[in-house]
Amino acid sequence: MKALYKKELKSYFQSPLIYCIIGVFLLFSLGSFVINNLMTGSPEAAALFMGSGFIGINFIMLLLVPVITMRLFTEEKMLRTEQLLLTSPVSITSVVFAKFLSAFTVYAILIAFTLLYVLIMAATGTVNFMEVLLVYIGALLLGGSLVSIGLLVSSLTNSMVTSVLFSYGAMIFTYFYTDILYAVFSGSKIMTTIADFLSIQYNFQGFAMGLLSPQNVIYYLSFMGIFIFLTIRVIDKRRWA
Amino acid sequence: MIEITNLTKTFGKRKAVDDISFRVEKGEVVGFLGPNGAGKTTTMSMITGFLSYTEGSIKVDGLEVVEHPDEVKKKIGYLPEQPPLYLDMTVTEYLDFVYQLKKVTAEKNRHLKEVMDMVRITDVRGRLIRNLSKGYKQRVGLAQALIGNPEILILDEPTVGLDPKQIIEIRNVIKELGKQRTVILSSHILPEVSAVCERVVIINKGKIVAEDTTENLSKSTAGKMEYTIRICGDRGSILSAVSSVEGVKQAKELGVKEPGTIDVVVTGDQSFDFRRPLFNVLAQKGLPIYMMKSNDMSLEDIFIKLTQDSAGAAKKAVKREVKQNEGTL
Repeated sequence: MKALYKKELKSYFQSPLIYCIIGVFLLFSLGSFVINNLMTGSPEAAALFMGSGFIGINFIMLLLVPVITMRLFTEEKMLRTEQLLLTSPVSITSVVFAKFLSAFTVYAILIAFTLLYVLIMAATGTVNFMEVLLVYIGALLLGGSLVSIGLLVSSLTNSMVTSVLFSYGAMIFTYFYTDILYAVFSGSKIMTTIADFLSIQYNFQGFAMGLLSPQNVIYYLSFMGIFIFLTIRVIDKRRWA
Repeated sequence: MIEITNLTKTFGKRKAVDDISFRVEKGEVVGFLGPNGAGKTTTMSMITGFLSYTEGSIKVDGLEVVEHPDEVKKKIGYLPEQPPLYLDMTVTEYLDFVYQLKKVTAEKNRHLKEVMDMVRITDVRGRLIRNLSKGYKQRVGLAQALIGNPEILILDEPTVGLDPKQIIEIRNVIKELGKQRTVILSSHILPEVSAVCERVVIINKGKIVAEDTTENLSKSTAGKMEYTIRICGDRGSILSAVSSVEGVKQAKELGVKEPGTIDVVVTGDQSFDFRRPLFNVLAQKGLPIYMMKSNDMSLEDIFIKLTQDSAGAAKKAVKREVKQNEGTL
């Protein structure tokens, strides 16, 4: 698993695509920093991530994660290297975990760039570092969930283009399906609570408010767990087709 | 070493492999022969644990593949039809990765060097796989299968797409490897199999149609000898001369390929070599031979022989054969 993880990371950083991703991310996250922090004068990491409207790091990630995850299994299928992986004495579970972790590491590296903005905020204003820590934990959990969606989609598709498009579809749906629930069941208190409970965005708000609630952590961990499990099943199922 | 019993694999409604059984003993080099889509790759994928099977069993060293995948996979080196290469790695990086992936315990540098020497890729070890020629890629694929010194090698069409020189080289490597290992090799080229393998399993439409040593197979299926001969002279005298030769069963005219000559396909029994009398007769009549070429029994011929249950199939095959002959002339 370690070998595959290292190989994956290495091939990420050998491709020019990753530098485009980093460039786009830096540009947009700087935008988010300027709009949400500098212009409003609020030294809060939560604002940087959640932002107003569509300008926030969480939303930028929605656009970038599919590009990070699109190659995970799709490329193996295209190069037929999955035959090498699956005929080696390693379990499918460890292959899937190695893939997940490598994409997750790329996500974490992107997020790490934003610490620079936090430093700028700390230099010019008062920053609550406990809150910052919680926001970053939340961002990692949210990112892990997005990566797990991309992972599953890449195991289902045979070309990177389909992989990336389907990931967009799936992730945008996960971001906004609860909004549909809110709209449909606007009167019902129970349904709104359920929608809150299921919402990938709402569960982030706990972290943004500086709360570490087990419910939010468990939500994201089980989200990842389900998608990773489904990916393992999809790959195993292909052998039985 | 490998024991396959009543193996069946269905994809949806289609049976890719239909109730096949055969054994491969330790140290044997077995050729797995069949036309495209016969089920060779499917069977090989199942032995390596890449695909599961619908029914039956595959035992490697007494271990059922689906029940003990890790132990079995450690014993097998597999070269799929398209070598599983990461194009953005150098040869050394790639083999190093495979070494770690297969959890090999042998001392790394020495082992990698041994493998690279064996398939002769040491001189390209620092190059990106993307930039290697097809032949070298194939060899890197073979090196990948050899990492960890597996007892069993499964090679799916290892020489497909290579140039003749490379084919001979790869064949020699496989022959060398077969001295210490059990090898299963698939191919649809008969000379390749007869050059490398001791025993052949022929598969067609998911079923085994023959299983024997290469020698016995060619004996039982050949039985006739056939030559394409180009003779200079007029049509009538050539045909009558050729037909009159002792041992010639049939002389069929192919047509004019070179002005002033006629091409004839001459068939006879293997028991009697008609070439000498044919030469004598033609020399007497003053009809010079411009060319004489043996029409080897191709895999196709053997297939037709082996699957000749309907006359229609045979007729079609003859037509195809003639076409092929024309193509080669």
